[in-house]
Amino acid sequence: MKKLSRIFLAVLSGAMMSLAGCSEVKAKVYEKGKPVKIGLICLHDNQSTYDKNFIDAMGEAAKNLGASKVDGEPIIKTGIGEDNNCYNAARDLVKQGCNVIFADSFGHESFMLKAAKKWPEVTFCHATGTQAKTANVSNYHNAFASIYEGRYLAGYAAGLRLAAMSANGELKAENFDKDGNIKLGYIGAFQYAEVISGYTSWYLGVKEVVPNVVMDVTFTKSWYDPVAEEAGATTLIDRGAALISQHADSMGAPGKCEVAGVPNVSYNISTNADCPKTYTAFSKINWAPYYEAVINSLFEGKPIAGEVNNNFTGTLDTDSVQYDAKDQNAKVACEVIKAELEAGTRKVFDCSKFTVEGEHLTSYLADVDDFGDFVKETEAIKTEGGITFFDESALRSAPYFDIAIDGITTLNSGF
Amino acid sequence: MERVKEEKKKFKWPFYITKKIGLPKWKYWLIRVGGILLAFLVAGITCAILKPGTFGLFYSEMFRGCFDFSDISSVIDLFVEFSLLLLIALALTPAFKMKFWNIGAEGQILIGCLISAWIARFAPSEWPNFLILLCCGIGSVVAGMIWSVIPALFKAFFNTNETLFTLMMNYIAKILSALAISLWIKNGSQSFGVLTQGTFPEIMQNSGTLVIVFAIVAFVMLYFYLKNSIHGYEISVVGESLNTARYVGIDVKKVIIRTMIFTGSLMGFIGFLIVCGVHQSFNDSIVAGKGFTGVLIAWLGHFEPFEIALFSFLSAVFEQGTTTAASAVNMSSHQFSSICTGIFFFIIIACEFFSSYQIKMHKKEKEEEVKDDVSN
Repeated sequence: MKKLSRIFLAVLSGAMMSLAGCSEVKAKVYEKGKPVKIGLICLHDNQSTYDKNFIDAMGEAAKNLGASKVDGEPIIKTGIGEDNNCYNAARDLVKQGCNVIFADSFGHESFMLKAAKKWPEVTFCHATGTQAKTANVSNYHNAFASIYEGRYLAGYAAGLRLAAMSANGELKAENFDKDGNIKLGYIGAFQYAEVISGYTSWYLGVKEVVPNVVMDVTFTKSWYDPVAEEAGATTLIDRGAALISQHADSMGAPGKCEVAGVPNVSYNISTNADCPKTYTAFSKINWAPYYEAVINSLFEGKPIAGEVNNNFTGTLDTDSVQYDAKDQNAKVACEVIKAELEAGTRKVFDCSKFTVEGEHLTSYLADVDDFGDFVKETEAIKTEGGITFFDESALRSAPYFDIAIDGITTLNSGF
Repeated sequence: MERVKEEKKKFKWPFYITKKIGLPKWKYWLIRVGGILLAFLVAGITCAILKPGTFGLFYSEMFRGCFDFSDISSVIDLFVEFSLLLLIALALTPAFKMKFWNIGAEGQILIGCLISAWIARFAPSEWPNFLILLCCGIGSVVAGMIWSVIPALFKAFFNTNETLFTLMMNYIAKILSALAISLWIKNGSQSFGVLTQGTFPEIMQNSGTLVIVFAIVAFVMLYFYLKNSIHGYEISVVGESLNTARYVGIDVKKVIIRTMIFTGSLMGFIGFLIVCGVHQSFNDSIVAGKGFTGVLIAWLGHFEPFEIALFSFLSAVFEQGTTTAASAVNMSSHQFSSICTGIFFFIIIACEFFSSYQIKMHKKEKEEEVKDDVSN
């Protein structure tokens, strides 16, 4: 044993000495006009519809930009947790010479910010985050899209299907509550602004076609849990939901709806192939235009086009928000609504279209500036062109609509 | 005559397994080293099957992932992972030596993490960092101790099954952590973020460097505790035979509780190292299964500190190396590294089996004997 311990100590001291002679990671300074080396950090891999959406968009953006602007294949790191592994992944990407590093999950944010402070020569872009506006780190950026508009359009298409079901007498007694309202159902992940904004805009889309609707929401407390999502769908169907949508990444809920014959609206992915009977519409964020905007701006040595306070919000105009409806007539009707949204003559969170405890909102403070204090400090109600509305995703890219409106009941807590 | 017929009908395996006795040490280690090399080879072949043409790249990337001296911080990461596994396996060793099967390392560490995260997050910002770290360390040690002493008390006084009890405590720790996060993070996003205080200083670009120092100190202390102290002796006697222990006047209950207090304190301390040093953050899966890997390593290392160090190091190399390699060969699934670590442990355990047992074929004479019986 003594011999062994001596060998061990010798190896250890040798290792320490060699460590002392090593150097630190230095970032490459990017010169404009040269191909950009891209890195992408993902929470899961292709198996998750959420991450697949980012990975596919990166592939598409790289193809569209071509070899003159993109240096080789983008380096994609999958399965990176929301802890120091994210910082380590960023460091490895910097080491491999990346000029711009993207990350896709909310919890990656503080580690991306830490990396951005460490390597100011590299551009760090974090999707869904909230801190870029307040952090004041010039090479750190947030991005999101006005997906509430996509949800609204998918909801509108669902409303048309619901109206047809009602006219054809397909609705049963259990689909109505005691006041004669038609019941909807929604499976959410967590109860925070991104999800609340999503289901409220979807609900308002349906309500635009069928005014007498109410909605139950159940939370799974996970972004990916097929079993819990299926259980949520079962609960909602048992409670009489005539139409269901979800903000969760698995096929749990759409699959259950297909078996039960309840129409479903999906997110991030079209379920048309897997659920031919019940697929109604879907919406998703298309990240390719954002990736292209960032690379093009870097390439030309300009600030990122379309950013306000280091926040980029993709819109319907830029193809960042996409939707589709199965029924072609519904699609034609949705296109009219889409044109109105693009022109600004229609607003999703139009205060005259919903009430909170019986009142129409005239003022609401939202938590837009993220100092980690969860204090709601910014007035989000705005009047423009005769419409008073909640100004979602304009003051920063990530959603901040977190109001419980009348007609929506949460069945459990999503915290 | 009928009885013989029945015997003939009975299915008989063509081989049987017996214990191997007197395998020389060098032969045993030859088998083990062969197993380790085979594990590297099989991992490389698996990679080449999944992504053809990457056999060589797999090894060069694995090496780069572990020993890239142009990026000192990544080398430190490897040693931090090694240190944590080593500490966990060593902390488990005293309890295992007395045949107290504590598989609750994961929960004991996690509860330590939780307390450190709580103190670091809510300590007044006027306090100096050193004081916050001290409080985190003490708090975590106490928490880990409580988490391990509960099953120990039940084992000592009511003889409850410690394996099931410690396993259950893991889940309680995990649920408490999830609950705490949802209470602290009021926007419901479950994301804890980077701690702003109560963090280890960065040395050589890595906040985990101090963890390695702690591990070396703990290694030396544990080595002498197990080998050269009365406690260490008592533990081994209790493990050998309870009756012997009682006969020589060892208070078995006291030894069980004392040893588990020791194990739990160290686990809590590891939790403190993970939160304040390695990750400077917290979530309910931050221990990432190291508690269970530690059990495996302690067992494979035969509770010998140097063997444990070897397997901790190999496990860390496998994990970090294959993660880097998977990324470099564009493996679409991030589970590849887990598969490789699985291959590694599977082969090493198989070696363990074949060096303690041997498979023998049934001899032909026996069959002839049966024939003779029939003719008689």
